[in-house]
Amino acid sequence: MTLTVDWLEFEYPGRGVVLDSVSLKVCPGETLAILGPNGSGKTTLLRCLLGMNRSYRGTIRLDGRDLRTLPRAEVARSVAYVPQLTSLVFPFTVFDVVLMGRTPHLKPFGTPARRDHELAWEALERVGIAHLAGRALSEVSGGERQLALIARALAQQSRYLLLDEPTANLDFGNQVRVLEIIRTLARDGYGVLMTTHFPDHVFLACTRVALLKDGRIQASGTPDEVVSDEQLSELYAVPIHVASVPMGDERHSMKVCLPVFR
Amino acid sequence: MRRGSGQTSRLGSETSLRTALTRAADQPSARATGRAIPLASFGAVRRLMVLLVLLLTVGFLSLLIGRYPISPSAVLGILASALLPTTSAAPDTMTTVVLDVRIPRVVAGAVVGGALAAAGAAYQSLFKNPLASPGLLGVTSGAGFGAALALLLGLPWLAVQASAFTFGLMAVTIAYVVARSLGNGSLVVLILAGVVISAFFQALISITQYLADPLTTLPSITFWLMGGLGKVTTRDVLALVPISIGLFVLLALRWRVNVLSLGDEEAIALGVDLARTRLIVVLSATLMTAAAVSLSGIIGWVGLVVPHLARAVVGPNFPVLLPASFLLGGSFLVAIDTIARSATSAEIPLGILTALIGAPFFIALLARARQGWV
Repeated sequence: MTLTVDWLEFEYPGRGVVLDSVSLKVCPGETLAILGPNGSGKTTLLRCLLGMNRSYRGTIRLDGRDLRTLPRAEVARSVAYVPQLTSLVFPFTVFDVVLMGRTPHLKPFGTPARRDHELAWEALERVGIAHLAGRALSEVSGGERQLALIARALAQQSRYLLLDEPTANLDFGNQVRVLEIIRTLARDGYGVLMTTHFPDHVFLACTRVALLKDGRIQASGTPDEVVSDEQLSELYAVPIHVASVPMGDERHSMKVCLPVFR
Repeated sequence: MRRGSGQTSRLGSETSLRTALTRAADQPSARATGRAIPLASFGAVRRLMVLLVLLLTVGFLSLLIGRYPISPSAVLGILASALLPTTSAAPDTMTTVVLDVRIPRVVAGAVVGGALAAAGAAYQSLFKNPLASPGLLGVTSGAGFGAALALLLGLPWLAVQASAFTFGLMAVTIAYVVARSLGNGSLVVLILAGVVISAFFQALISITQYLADPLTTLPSITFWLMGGLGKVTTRDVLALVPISIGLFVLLALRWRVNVLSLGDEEAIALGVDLARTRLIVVLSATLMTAAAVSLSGIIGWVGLVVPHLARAVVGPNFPVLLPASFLLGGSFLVAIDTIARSATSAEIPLGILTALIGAPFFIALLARARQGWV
């Protein structure tokens, strides 16, 4: 039961190699963070995992089966995607959008039935925004919108969740709320993969981390092993210090990443 | 998108009205299940029934109005005698006017308006663009050229309709094939291809007009391009076949169309076969539009404005939006056609009136909902 990537290579025609020998693994119950500077190939990796980029070399296996041999709906029943932004033009309600998560479970000409409505409600309640169900998605705040998109992924009932920078564009409180939900989801058995631009969030919510630079995995492992002064400074090409901050007493401490200005 | 304290007041009153209506309509179900279900079938079905009653009312009123006004009781008597084994006291001319002239025209107006609005709603959802109209990929220009060519060659009316239908389908097919061979299925490339093909067929229309006899053929081409239901007869029921097929397929795919309006990435991530679904939706909408246009000539604005109006009434959820657009489009066109044939002694071309009424109407709609596209 894993989402496994082996020796993944991808190039856009005319733009050179974007991903080069990328191997990683997501197991249920763990959260893998992908850290990397802009243009390092994080989005391309997500697109490969979602079956949007299909012309890759290497293999992606979903519980042992080759991703490319699976029908789209079946992939969607196993892997859900939480985009960074949604480009809704029309004023769909939060509930409508969450209900769309049921699509891979519907028959080709079907529409959601009572059971699907109930699952959408449960997903909304789980992320704590059931009171917003009837509001238009475009009306609610950025944090609530992110929670609605997570609820949609939950309504999809997939084992694996792929989140594209789930904390980008959110205020500090909403970042914490989203990270908290991600921790709970992993504890409940979801296999989570998230890209992020905040190394601190790796310590806060992730069990493992992979550093992606120029399409290659620079390092991977547990946050304590991997997120160090040397690795981060190399990854982002600026000096960074990882400090340990005591939280109340000596035994509990938290790591934070700080830039070092000369 | 702006956000802030003035939110509620700036929001299109449509949105808040709809939310309020939804809540009110769902009270019974909320009590039954212990939860309010937004956009549950209850409120939606009720609103669709209201739109159906509106269409029937407008249709009935249209039977009364005209250069030969007929009283409601007389119309009811004539309708009853046509459907039931009773005889009506109405004079024969009156019966002829109702059964052979006005009913075909009202039905045609409802079907053409409905088809254009439904196709417009499908295009707007598919292209995620509130400015999309059924003519976006060139179907109307293609049909216009088909009709103009047949008129230029002096073919009979049935051939003119068939030619309009065929060239309408052909224009969209060319646009689609061009887009497929150029882009990797991108919507922008498809829209651009549609614009180019449209312009190309517009030029071809101009050539036929340039070549046409200015005393006989040119006026008939011009009138066709301005649209109208004056030539509709009972024989035109044939056009119902492609329109029904298109509508049926869109109804079958109603939920998928909803998901398409989320955007390509999310639709794929939700397991939708993007290329195939998009092709089927374009085909269905094109089939409906080509059939409608071959009946009525080019009638603009219905396919653009009515879906917005329908969205203001029932919301953007396509399974409800599609029938709502069809019913509202029908009412809209029947109403405008009634004005077109009764306002002045000479009939006003329908396409001119829909534009004259549609344009300010659309501006009013924009003013009421600057964000959220109703």
